[in-house]
Amino acid sequence: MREFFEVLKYTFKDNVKKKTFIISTIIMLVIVIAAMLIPAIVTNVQSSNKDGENSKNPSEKSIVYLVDKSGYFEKNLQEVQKQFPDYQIKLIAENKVDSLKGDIKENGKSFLIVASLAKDVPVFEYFLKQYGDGPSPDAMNKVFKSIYATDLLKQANVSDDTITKALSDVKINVNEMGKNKLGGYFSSIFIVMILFFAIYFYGFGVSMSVASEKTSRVMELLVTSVKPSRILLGKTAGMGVLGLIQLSLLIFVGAVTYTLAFPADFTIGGMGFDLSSFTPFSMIMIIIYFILGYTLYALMYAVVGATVSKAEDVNSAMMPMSFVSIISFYFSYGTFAIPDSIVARVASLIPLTSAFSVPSRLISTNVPVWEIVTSLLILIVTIVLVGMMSIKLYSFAVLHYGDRLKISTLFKISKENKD
Amino acid sequence: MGLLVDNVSKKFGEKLVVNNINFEMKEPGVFGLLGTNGAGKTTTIRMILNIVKKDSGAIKWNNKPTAGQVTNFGYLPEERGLYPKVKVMEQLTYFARLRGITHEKAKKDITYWLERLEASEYTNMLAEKLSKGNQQKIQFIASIIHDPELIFMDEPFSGLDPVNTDLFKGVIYELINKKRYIIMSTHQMTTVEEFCRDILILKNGDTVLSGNLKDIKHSYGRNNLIINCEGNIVELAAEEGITSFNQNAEGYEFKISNEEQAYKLLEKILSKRLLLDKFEIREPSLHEIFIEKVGDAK
Repeated sequence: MREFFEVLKYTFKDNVKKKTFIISTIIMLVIVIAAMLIPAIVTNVQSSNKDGENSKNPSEKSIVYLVDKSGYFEKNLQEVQKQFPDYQIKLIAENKVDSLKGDIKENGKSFLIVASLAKDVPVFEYFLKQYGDGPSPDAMNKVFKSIYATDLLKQANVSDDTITKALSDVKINVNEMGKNKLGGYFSSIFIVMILFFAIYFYGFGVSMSVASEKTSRVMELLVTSVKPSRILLGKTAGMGVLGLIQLSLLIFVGAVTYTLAFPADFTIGGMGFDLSSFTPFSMIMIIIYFILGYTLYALMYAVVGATVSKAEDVNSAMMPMSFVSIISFYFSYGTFAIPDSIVARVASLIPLTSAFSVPSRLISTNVPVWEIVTSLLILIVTIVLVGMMSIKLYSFAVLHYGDRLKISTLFKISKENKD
Repeated sequence: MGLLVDNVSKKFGEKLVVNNINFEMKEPGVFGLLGTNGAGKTTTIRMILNIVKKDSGAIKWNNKPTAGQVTNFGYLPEERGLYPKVKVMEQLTYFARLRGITHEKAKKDITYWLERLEASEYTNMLAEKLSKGNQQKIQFIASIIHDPELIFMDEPFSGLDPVNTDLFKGVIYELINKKRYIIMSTHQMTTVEEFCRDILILKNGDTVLSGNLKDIKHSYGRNNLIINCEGNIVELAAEEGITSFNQNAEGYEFKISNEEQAYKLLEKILSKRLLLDKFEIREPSLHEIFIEKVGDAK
């Protein structure tokens, strides 16, 4: 146990000082803070623009020119003006249309609406430089329709009271009972990415660390000082603690920035961005799945690192392992689109993918407790089995110098050498 | 107390690397493991240390298999194995801590050894910045920092200049006086003659010679005659029936079958009044024995 902690401590101290760790931590912190701050800045800019528009003088307001061939809206010009307080509505004669069009095309500061009747229904031609400038067609539809309908109803001698009632909007109050889909979607992508990179990065770190001890031949001294299993487990744990600290730091800084700066009314395409699914429970589960997922991958990565004799071989040796990680990542990546699909449920049970899949589903949907428990059990049992195998393979691989060992050869040798 | 290597063999694939090696080290001191490159010395050491699994035989330290006691031994491997990007003090402390030495004691002992080996100035340097000889010093400290009773030294003097070689020798003498058991593999025959009580010579995995160094030399007899003098004495020697010789810059080295031949030759030289610098009858050197036992294969 003492040796385990010594290896852990040394691995941690050795790696925490490394430039790669310091720089990657800083970069990730900057990204997290930016991800939280940018929506806040955008929202602030938008609202200050709105404030500015409201206080505009009438002379500074954009002009909306109205040509009325229908005759319905001329008489209700005041009503139209009331409905578009941000614009100045001006009635003009039909013959000015062409020169106005030229002006709009050139300057784009004013807008032109030509109203006419086709089969007793008002038709509007709306001229503007770019769609999105000026009053929205939806708003126009509402205003002009209301004026037209009021007029028609009045002609039919309907009482004012009834007209008001008939034209009032119905109210629809949306009450979402499940988890916010959009917020959950982005959050789960975020979580899967973070988990994947953390697990991949630190697993890779274990591999590199083992390989460097082997290529520098420190290994010979180490294995005669400590049992190989202690080195493997201590190293895995040391890197894991480092990863955990980095991950916790990111989550902590992210949470603090979120509470301080993230706008409550932030929307994407009009949909609320709700991060309420980041409950303490889901946070704890993310940490647990990181620890377990990392342990599983790191134990395999350590063996890969041990098969290498020369530093140049590290990358090619890592290839199959990288494939496994990336395939697992994409398999679970598919799960947050439809977090309750069969694929997602399967990914939550496979030990290689569950560390990515379950946390993302926890954020975006309600995962039944039995699925979490089963997935954790499978993962833990797999870790124990893989761990035992890794210790065995590692002990043999670590002392083999010469050509890079293939995993199949390694299995053969370890079988032959069963004491 | 003692190390016993009993009928140990090892194959790498089809190649027999060590064939039935046997030796026993009952008393403290230095045991010399000799042989040409690739003779199986390092493999033998690694088998004792359980780094390489032996195919057959038994290896025991204090009557118990060595496999379970490896962490008590000291090991100076043939190739340098240090963390290149870690400071000397830091990695030595780590190695000491792995052996269960307290932090304070480790620091104290490392400082002592760095001073003893005249390497104090490297305490806070990265290992990769050190010369080969200085790295060897650090490696040496790593192998004895836990004061082991049994120490393996694979080519301890490689890369060392004469000054540092003497420094190392001083430490090895100190270890011998402290009753440590040292298994040393080396190519430097003079070193072996200086330190080793018992030796074993390997050739392609086979033991070609093994036993007490003095006894071995004795068994060869005093059949080396060294004469440094003026003039050509080859003909004089031939008259006495001494025909096998080597000539070097200093003089002659004859092979004699008995000492009588030598004295007769001496009389002749003296009667001819040739100026004589050196006359010596001695046992063959380990170098000669080694060449005789191993060299003819080449």
